[in-house]
Amino acid sequence: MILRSVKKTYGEKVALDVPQLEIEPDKITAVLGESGAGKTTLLNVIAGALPFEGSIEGVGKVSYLFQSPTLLPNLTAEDNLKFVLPKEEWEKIPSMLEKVGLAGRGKSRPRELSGGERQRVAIARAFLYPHDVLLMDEPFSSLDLSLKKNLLSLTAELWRPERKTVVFVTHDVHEAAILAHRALVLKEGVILRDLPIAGEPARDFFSRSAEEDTLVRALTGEEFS
Amino acid sequence: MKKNLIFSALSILFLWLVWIIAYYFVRNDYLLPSFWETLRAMGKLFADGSFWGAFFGTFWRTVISFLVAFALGAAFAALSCLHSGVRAFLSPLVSVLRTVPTMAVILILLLWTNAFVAPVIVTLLVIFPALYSAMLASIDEVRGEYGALAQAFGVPAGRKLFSMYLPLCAPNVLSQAGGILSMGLKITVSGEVLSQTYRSLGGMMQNAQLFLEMPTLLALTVLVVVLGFLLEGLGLLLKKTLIRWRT
Repeated sequence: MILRSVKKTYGEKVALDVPQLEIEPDKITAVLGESGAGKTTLLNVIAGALPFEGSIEGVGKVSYLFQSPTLLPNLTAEDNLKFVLPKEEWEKIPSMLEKVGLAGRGKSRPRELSGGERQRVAIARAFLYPHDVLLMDEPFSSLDLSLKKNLLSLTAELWRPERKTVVFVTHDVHEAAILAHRALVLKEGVILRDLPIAGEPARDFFSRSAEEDTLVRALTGEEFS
Repeated sequence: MKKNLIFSALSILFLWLVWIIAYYFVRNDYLLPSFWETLRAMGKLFADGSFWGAFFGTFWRTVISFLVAFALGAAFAALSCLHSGVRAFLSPLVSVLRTVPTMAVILILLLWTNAFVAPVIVTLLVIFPALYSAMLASIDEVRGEYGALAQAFGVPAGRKLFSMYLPLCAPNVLSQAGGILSMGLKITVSGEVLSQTYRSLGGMMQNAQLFLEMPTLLALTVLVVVLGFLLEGLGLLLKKTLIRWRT
């Protein structure tokens, strides 16, 4: 996927200004930054949900993993997956539910599932939906630590077999260091830092890498002072 | 739940006591008949075939108005969500319908139509804005919460309608529908009183007032109130029966 001269403005304010950016097809790219840095704008621009200047090539079909699970309360977990999937994909639902640890929970409605289980359904939905690019918008930000650890490794596990392009917006450096191959730090709509992260996801939740320190410095502005 | 039922029963008991005490002070059957006299009048009404004709006449007029208003409300709410121009076009019309005096409309309608049709149309005009607004608010709420999801995954229109909009709008609409139906009954009866509709509760009330049959008038009023409660309860019952995923 290549972004060329992509610019998004709201009146005078520049929300996003990316002269050129190539996002590798079989990698997870994390996008970090403070609130209002342009992270979600970048996702929306890639998704084609916002008008913008410039061009983006090679996006293809897009799937999403939102911050909240956003499941229809009237439908069971299984029917929530059916709701977004084309009919020919329905047969994959039982095995996917098993993969995300929800075997036997397919007939449960969202209110009968825990917060973690609901997010697992959302993860199943994001990976089952036929896509070329998966856009993740802070999907682990409101989870407790142990749940976050489990869902990060589950996401990596589901991603590994097909290695589709993933753009992962987060404000948590640790999440990026565990799951991504590359981290972009955005500030006021501009890419401030583009850092490769060594190794394959999911990395050890309990260790802290050198890249993570660099990212923290970039985000806090110390690196540039 | 049980506690709430007790408080509701206490409220009815309170009204009954107010009636008993007021009767004790007024002591004039032409101004305020006694509770027992009203009960006797109610018994007589139940035994009278023409009462049931009037009862069902009023009931059906209310239901027809409600069903037409419901269908129009749903259609226009859907159109308003699909096109902001329709919403903007309807907004002042709905405001006018909300503020226009009911009695004035009935008088005008009586010139144009007849005593059977005028109460139906006036009820329709009064409850349509309430139903339209309730439906529009529900659709907006569902769209705000799940519209982005459906759009992001390119969910087909039929699936959006039957799996998302209809089931998620239904609880809110049904919980308001009972109250609106009950309000429709009040408007229909008022329309019938003014139109002196033959075979109607409103027409019977008008006759009872003309012939100073105060117990009958009060009995009819109590029956309309009870019917209103029943219609409101029907909406809640429908919601409870149809919307099982919420319980």
